[in-house]
Amino acid sequence: MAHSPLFTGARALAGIAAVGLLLTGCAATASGSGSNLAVSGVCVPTEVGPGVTDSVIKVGTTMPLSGSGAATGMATRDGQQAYYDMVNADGGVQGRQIELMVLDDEYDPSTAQSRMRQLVEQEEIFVVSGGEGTPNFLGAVPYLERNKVPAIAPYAPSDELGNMKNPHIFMAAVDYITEFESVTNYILQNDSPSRVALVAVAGNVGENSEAGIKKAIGDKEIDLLYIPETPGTTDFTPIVTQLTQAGAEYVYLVLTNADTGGLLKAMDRVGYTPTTVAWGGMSDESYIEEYGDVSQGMLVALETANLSTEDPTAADFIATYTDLTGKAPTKFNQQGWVQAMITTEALKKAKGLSRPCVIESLESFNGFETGIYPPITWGADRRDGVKSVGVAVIEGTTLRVLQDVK
Amino acid sequence: MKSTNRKERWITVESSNPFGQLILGGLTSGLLYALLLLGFMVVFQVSKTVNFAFGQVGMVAAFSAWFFWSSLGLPLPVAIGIGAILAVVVNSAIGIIVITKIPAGRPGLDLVVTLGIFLFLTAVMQLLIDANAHAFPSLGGDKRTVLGGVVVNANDVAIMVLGVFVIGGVYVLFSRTTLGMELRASAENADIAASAGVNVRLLRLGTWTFAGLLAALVAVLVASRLSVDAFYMTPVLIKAFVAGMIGGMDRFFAPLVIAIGIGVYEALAIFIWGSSAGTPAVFLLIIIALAVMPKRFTAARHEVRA
Amino acid sequence: MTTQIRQLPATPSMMSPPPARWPHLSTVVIVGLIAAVPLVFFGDYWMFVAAKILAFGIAAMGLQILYGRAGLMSLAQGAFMGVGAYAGYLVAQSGLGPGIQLLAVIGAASLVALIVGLPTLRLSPLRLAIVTLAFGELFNWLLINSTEWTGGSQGAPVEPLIIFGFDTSYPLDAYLVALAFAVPLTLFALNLGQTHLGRRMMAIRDSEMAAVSVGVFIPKTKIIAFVLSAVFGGIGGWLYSATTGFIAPPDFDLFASVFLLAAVVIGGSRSVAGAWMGTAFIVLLPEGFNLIGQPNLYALAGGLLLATTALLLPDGFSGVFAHIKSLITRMRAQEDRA
Repeated sequence: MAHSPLFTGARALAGIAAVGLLLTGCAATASGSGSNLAVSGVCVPTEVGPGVTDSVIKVGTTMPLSGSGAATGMATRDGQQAYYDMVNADGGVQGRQIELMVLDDEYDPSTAQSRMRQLVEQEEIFVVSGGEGTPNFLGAVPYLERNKVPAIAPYAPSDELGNMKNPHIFMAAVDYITEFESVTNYILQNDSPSRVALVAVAGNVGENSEAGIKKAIGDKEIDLLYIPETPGTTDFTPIVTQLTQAGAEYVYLVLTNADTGGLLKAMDRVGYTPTTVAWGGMSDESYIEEYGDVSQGMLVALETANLSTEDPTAADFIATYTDLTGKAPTKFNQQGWVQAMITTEALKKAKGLSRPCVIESLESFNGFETGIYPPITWGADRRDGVKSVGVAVIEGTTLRVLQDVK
Repeated sequence: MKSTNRKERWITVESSNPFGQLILGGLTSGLLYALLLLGFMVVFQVSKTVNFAFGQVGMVAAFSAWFFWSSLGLPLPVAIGIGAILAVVVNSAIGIIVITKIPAGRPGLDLVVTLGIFLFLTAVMQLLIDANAHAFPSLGGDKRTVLGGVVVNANDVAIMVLGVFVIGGVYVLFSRTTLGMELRASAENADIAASAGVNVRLLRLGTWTFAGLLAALVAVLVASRLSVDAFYMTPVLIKAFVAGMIGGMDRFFAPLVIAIGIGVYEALAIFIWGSSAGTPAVFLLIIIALAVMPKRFTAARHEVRA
Repeated sequence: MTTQIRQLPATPSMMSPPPARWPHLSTVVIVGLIAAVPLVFFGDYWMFVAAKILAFGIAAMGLQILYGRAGLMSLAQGAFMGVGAYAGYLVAQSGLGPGIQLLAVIGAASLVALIVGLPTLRLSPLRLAIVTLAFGELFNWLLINSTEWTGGSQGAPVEPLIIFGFDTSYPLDAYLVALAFAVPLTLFALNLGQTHLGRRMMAIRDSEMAAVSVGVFIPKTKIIAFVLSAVFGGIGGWLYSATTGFIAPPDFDLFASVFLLAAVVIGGSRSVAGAWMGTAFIVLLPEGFNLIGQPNLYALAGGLLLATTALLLPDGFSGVFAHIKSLITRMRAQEDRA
């Protein structure tokens, strides 16, 4: 499918000669807009896409299964597998079993692209089922777009995704702009701080978080101090000193688990106790278990329905998951579970098992209830399925919901 | 905010001397770089190789100590003790099985071999424990007092005391004792030293053991201030490494002072120019310092020629 | 990074030029056959892998010139790949074609090499290595903190190169385009050993003092080696970006540089062919685990294999071939005597 249309042996030789010419100085100019990014193809119900046989639909994705992002990657993979196991036990989708293949992308963009190529070209997966991690997933996006492979509900918060710049990527997770706009709106409804600060991973994550907070602040008189951080900081004292000098009442933390813990410890060491606010990853119980004692009272964005509520849907999910795997689910298990649920729904609703039909099916999602994400709506020119997050607070070893996900 | 509002409207901080606080933070970080570098230099003394996996030896100690303490419920000192023993075993194994087998005259080979070990130790610990970051006990970080407006905790004091004693001790050992002379002799030429009656193998084993303990000590202290996982030692290692290369691995005080200096300078740079300026400030200074360094410091005479 | 700057016996080659020796016909035929393998046997995925080997291999050859030939250690070859990749990307953003991009890649790599190298090449090899490490860290920081230009930490999609109808978004075309650069650059690197410049570099590697005594102007030779190495790195990075269609800071970080050094060392730092073999080893190692159906085992076993291979073959892959060759020569000599 990605085969060059002109391939012949003679062409290969011509190529060597031709590019040799380029080296001697005869440069040709490119036509510029290389690939066609529009969503193409019409759903023909009788057509069958790659990876689909009479008994099996192959789906796959890459996630960090080794290296610094491995914990969340593995948990997301396990969540997906549990859901597909359940679907397959119930007879599968359109009379076929779903076969999931997750390869290790080491949280690295370049590796992610290689593994994604392997999945598409060698393993011949039909669609990309979810995913976990922003920089790595983004590495595979240009390739998926060029080859028109739909990717369904990856967890990769980024302002690059969720719009028609990348029409094959259907997002059900919000980006950091929306996440922090949403959380800040909640804070401003309940309190009126005059000085807030943001400590975030330098680069897009930090810039997007800052943009979201600014959007919510609008023209209110609130000072915002943004301190970009580089993962692997060995001494947090200077950051804490900046925060205390600014007298920030709220401190947003958009950092890795390790660095969030490190910064909170350093704040604790000098007795500085502002209200802290963190991104969705800190609602995972593995974080609360480790850093709960320094995180009491921390506000956390809720990207998925809180697992510690009495909400019947959540309780139902926990019971089902525990039944299937013998273990209670974590936030990232839940993330994988919902990714598989959305992928399964798209396959179920598809008029035929070809990629254009799946895209048509995804575009028809209108308020799809997962019980985990807010209702998901995509459309012919809409790729951000979800537009808000909830808010919870860390109390003891659990989360108490302040504003529900829905 | 209702019950979430645990703070007072006015933010209170116990520290009233931000500059002193910064210097203290920078000094303790710098001492940790220096202690790791000391282990690095001791290994270099006997093997003339740079061990890129040295930080991971410490990681093995701290990460497994965390595991024994948190998952198996062993008392903390016991857990750290077992971790330290593991570090000694791993470091000696790297020394005996790997480093002494690196043939002479192949520049760069030690880097590649120990890079492989680095990757292997990381993957093994992830497999045996997990890939999460974990909170390590703060080892005195919560026992604090205010001195001249600076919040000082027991952890800081321990690092200062250990730093002075360990560095001083090693210096005395190397320069003032027969043992030190034998060490240096066997580093210069093992064959001649052996024929002069020095037990080279025992000396080397002692060196691997000591370096392993030092790596474990630094790693546990760093973990108590930050967190522990399979990767957290790499930034510390890189700074120790840089200080060693600039100062010269065969000198003693120059590289250690540079290591401490990097810690302090980094803290000041972040404070003055903002957190994202830490990286460029440190690395720009390294380039500029080396570029304008007087010739006599850059001359190769201090580098080892075997 | 070794710290062993050992005095190697001065090679006689440094004093008297060896007979001019272009690569043997047999070498050319073997290389041609290897290059043709992907064309005949490979599908898209392996073609992509082959194109990546070519891009990294060009960068590794550059490092081989600097490190294997001139004895200067660099921990920034990955960063120079980044200089090339991002220079090409920025020029392409303004709508300019491959010819101008190539000029920009060469220009940017040379300029950056001059800025980094001129004040610091007088340093000892180890301290130079630290300067290059610092440069690499600075470069990565710059990429992450210039989102508007470079796409920042989340990287940037790169338009494919389209050269005479060859479109590098197709793995086959990417391979052919990379090959068209790899072949002449390899010939250049092979031939370098026979030139005065190449011998001056080796003289510096073996002994700076001896080099001066035979009239080598050290700073000029070092700077040429450094710039050449950076240009190879830049072109490799540019081709890499065209092959993958995406670039991000982690592609060009310290570990990328260290792996390129590992490729050169494990291939055998004294030979151009070694740079190729080392690159192939480093790129193919994870693929090998895919082939045996254990793609996720690489993280665990990869490091161990790297260490073991380096220990077992201290002179690298090319050292093995050299050893076999000398064995054969000796056996022939014995036969002749008999």
